[in-house]
Amino acid sequence: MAACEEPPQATGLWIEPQHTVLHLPLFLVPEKDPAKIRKLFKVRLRGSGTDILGDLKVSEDVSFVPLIPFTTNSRYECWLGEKKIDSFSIPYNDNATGPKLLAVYPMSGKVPVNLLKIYLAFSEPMRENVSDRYIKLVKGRSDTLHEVFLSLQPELWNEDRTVLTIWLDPGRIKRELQPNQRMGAPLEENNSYTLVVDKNWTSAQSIAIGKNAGATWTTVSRDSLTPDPALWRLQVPKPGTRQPLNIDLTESLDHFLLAESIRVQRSDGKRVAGSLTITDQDSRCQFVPEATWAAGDYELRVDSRLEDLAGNNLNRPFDRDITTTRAKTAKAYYTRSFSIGK
Amino acid sequence: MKQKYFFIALLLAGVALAATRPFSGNPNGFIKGTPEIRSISALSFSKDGILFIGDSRSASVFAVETNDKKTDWAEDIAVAGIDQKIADALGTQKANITITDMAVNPVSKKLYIAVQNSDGTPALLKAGNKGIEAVSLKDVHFSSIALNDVYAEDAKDARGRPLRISTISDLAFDNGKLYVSGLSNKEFSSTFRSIPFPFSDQQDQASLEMYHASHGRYETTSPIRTFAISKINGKDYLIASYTCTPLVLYPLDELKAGMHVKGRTVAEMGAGNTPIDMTTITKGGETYLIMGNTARPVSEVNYKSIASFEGTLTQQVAGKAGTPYIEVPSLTKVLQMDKLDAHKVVIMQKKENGDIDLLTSTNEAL
Repeated sequence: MAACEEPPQATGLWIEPQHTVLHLPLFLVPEKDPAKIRKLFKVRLRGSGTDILGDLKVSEDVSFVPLIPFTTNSRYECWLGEKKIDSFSIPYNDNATGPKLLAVYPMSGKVPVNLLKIYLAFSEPMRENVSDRYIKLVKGRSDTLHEVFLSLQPELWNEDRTVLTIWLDPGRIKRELQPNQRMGAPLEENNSYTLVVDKNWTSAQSIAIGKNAGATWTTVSRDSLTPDPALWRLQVPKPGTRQPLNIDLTESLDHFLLAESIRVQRSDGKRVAGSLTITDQDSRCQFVPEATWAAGDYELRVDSRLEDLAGNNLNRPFDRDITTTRAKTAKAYYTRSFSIGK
Repeated sequence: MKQKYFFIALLLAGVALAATRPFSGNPNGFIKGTPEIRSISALSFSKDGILFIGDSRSASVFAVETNDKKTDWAEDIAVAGIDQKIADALGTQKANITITDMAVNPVSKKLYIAVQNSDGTPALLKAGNKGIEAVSLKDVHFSSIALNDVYAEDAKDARGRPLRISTISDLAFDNGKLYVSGLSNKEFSSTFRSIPFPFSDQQDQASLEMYHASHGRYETTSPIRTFAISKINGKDYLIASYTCTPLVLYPLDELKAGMHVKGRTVAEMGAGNTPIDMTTITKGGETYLIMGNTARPVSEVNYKSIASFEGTLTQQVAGKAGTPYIEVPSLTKVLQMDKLDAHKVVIMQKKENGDIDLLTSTNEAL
């Protein structure tokens, strides 16, 4: 059996890192005619009669690029026609550390009863499209809830496959929709809920988390109000300093939207360079400028798509009672003015 | 030596440029080359066999010439355990793969299946009774368009990538336009774009905020999960199914950017259930919308009854009511569907034992 990931000068079969290409030196192939090799050379899973799909090249060696990388903990065989000519396995990487659940958002211990979104942040790319097997929501100590999450295939991962977005079933949260009427809202007020992430969930590299992880929240009253930057409390810095501009959002907002929704600008719209830090379970932010503050008029520009924990954004609540509230005119941004040194 | 290397590098660059050069006699504005497709979330064909690939990871749609041979008649497709067969052909276990979409090329009647490996690698396959083959995307004629985020053009991360990346939930091509619905991993809103094809620099794509009010009282917005474009009484409509289950009808000509667009909820498809795929078929001279559902059998609505349903935003759609529909009891847990030809539909169905089968049904049997 050949080893995996040997250097190119190796004298046997070797597999490139990430398991994307197989190389077999020509002297190990009992056929010298490249055309015949191209026709007869096949790779199969051990015990399978199916040829693996991929691109084959015969030049200095035989190289085979499978359509998807070879799978960890699997054994493969190389065939020339009816003759098995070599085999290899893709072992677990013993040196790799297991993935960790780094954070669960919302981070606040209290959430509105109409909580919409949960984010799970992992330390490395995870195996996709299996979350329904490894995530559960437990009410109180032991009451596992069913059909609370929206089943989505493919799942909503960030580009690196390290952050997964989970929605509580919006059909159950929205008032008077049929799922809401038949099954009730997913959460009830003044209860404790624990999200459990199962220890057996594996990374894309097939290593399990190893121990159960999660977060616990207590539900408070329904949040049906759109976040309003006009109500945020600002602590304005002194001119000539690099003191932070402190923004008290008065409630926890969506962690990932928050990080990209707020910018500080001069009243003429010119952006103030600096960095925004989010603290206090996503209920406060701190903006520190790169240069010292000049006296003058400023604005916070807030993207209207910023949401609170219940999915209300700056333009509209998650579900609007049309008998009592009017629709706002949708805007791309909302601004909040403030002055420094005046 | 350095100079020599530089020369080789230039030569290689020249090859790369040549490989992506536009060619003549090319009404679709295609170039020849290898599209950098990073994921395949959705597939759709135009009537003349151009394959549209929705790539969520690069937030782009690719249009690819397939060069399939024309056929008028389609063989019934019946493959038991298609998930196992795909896994075998990819050299992995079936637990590692997810079938993300399937679509039939109306020119060749060939079934295309998009698959994602657990590490995120996409694969595009053609499947039939005789087996599974890879669809090569090397040196093909193609074009692509990035789904620009019209709201937050300056929201980019340190590497200059847009921060908001939508998952493309469905694609459809109709009458010179490509329609794309998206789910965001961040905000809970409906993005629906209409993009003229051939793709051009002058994009006319619009991100739309669309609302529906099912019960006369609460107006909501929600991301579209799957949709169909259809003519009802001579007018083009978008029929959208949302993550919160209602089936909503919008006149296409009213969908304009920046407007508060209200749709008409025509049905709710049952508690704990979401339509996951839909297509339009004709039988007995009438047109029907058929839907695969997560928790219910395939349901079928006559377009006539959608057109005549006068329930408006002020009326409650009670239970499974609203527009009447019928269910096909044998077809539960249908994951994917598409028209195989004018008379047949190919269906991907999850069986009781968890296996996934491909089967063919005549329109009449639905």
